Amino acid sequence: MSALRWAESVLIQLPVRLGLGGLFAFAAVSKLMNIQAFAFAIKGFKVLDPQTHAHLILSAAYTIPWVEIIAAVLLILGLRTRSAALTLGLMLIAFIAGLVHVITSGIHADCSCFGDMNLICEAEVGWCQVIRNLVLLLPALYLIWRGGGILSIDHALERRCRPGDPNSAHHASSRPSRVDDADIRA
Amino acid sequence: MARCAHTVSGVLMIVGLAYIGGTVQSLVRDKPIVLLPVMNAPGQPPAQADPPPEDAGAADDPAENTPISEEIPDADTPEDEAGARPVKNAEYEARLDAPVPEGMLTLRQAHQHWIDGAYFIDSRRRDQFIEGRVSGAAYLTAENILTDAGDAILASIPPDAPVVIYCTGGEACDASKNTMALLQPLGYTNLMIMGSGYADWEAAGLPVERGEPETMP
Repeated sequence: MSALRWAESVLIQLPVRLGLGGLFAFAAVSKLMNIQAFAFAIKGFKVLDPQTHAHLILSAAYTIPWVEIIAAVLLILGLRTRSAALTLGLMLIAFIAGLVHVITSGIHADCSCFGDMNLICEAEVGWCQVIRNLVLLLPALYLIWRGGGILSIDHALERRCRPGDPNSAHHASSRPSRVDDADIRA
Repeated sequence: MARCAHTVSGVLMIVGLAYIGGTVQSLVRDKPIVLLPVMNAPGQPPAQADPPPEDAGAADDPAENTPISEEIPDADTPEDEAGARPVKNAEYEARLDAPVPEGMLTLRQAHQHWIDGAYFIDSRRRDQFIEGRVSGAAYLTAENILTDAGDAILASIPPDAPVVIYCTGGEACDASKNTMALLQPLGYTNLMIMGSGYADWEAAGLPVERGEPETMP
C-alpha cells in the first residue's frame, strides 16, 4: 500500500501538480505583465457590457491573474492542494462557459489565455480552446480526488500535526480509512 | 464533510488573497486601465461628419468582395491621385463607399487620408500585421504600447497629426477602439477609425506591404 502510494505520488501526483501549477503560473504571469491587454480581452468576450459594468471588467482583470498565480503556487508546493485544484477547476469551468458564449454568439474574440502567446490553439477563440480546457480539467479533478500525495506540504503537515492533535477539524474525517490517512497509520 | 469544508474554505481564502493582490496592484499602477474610447472627442476631422453614402450594393462583407479584386487591374499602382483614379466599375466604386459604422471612415475617406499622409495604425494581432498591412502602417496595440517599440512609434507621431486606426473592420472589430482608447489619454487629438477592415483595403487594390517591418514608421 505504502509503495503504491509512493509510486502514485512520485509518478502522478507530483508531475500533475507541477504541470498544472506551472501552466497556470505561466498564464498568470503573462496576464499580470499586461493587465491592460487582459482587460481588453475580457471586454472582447462581451459577457459584460463595458458601458455599464466597467467596474466588474476591471476587478476581473486585476483579480483573475492573482487567483491563478496563488492557486498555481499552492499547487506546486502541495499546500492546500485540494483547494488550489478546486479553484483552478472552477476557473476552467468559468473559462469554458465564457468560450462557449463567445463561440455560440458568433463573436470574434482572441483568447488571451496566455497573454499574447498561443498554446496549441490559434489566437482566435474556437472549440480548440474549449477542448484544451476540458482536458486541463482532468488533472484538476484528479488532484481534488487524490490530494497532493506524499511529496507535498499537506502531507508533511498532516504527519506533524496528527499525533498531538487527533481531533483537529482537518483530521476529523468521518471516513478515517481514506487512502490519504492510511499510510500515516501504517 | 470536514475535508469538504476545509477545501472550500481554502478556495475562498485563495480568492480573497487574490482580490487583495489585485487591489494592491491597481493602487500601485500609475496608468489607469482604459476600456472604451471617447468616441466624440473634439478635434475629429470633418471627414467623419460626412455620412457615408448609402449604396444598395452588398459590399460590406469582405468575404464577398475578395474575389472581385482580381478583376481590378493596376492593383499594384494605387498611388494615383484619388481623382485621377480611373473608374473601374460601379461595384468598385460601391466598395470604396461601402457603409461603415457611424463615426468611422469609409474606405474612400481612409484612402484619401493615406494619400494626404496621415499615420496609419494597425490594431490587429501581430501575426495579422506581419501577414499584410496598409502600406506604411505601424503596429500599436495594448500588447506593445508600453514597450520600447511602442514608445518609438508614439514618439514618431505628433499629437495633433491625423491618425487612422484600422482592424478587421465592422462593428465586431473592437481592436481599433481599444487602440484609440489607449492613444486618447496620451494627448492624441486627431484619431480616426477606418470602418472598413484590412481585407476590404487589400481587396480594393489599395497599397499594402507584407512581412516584418524594416523600420517602424
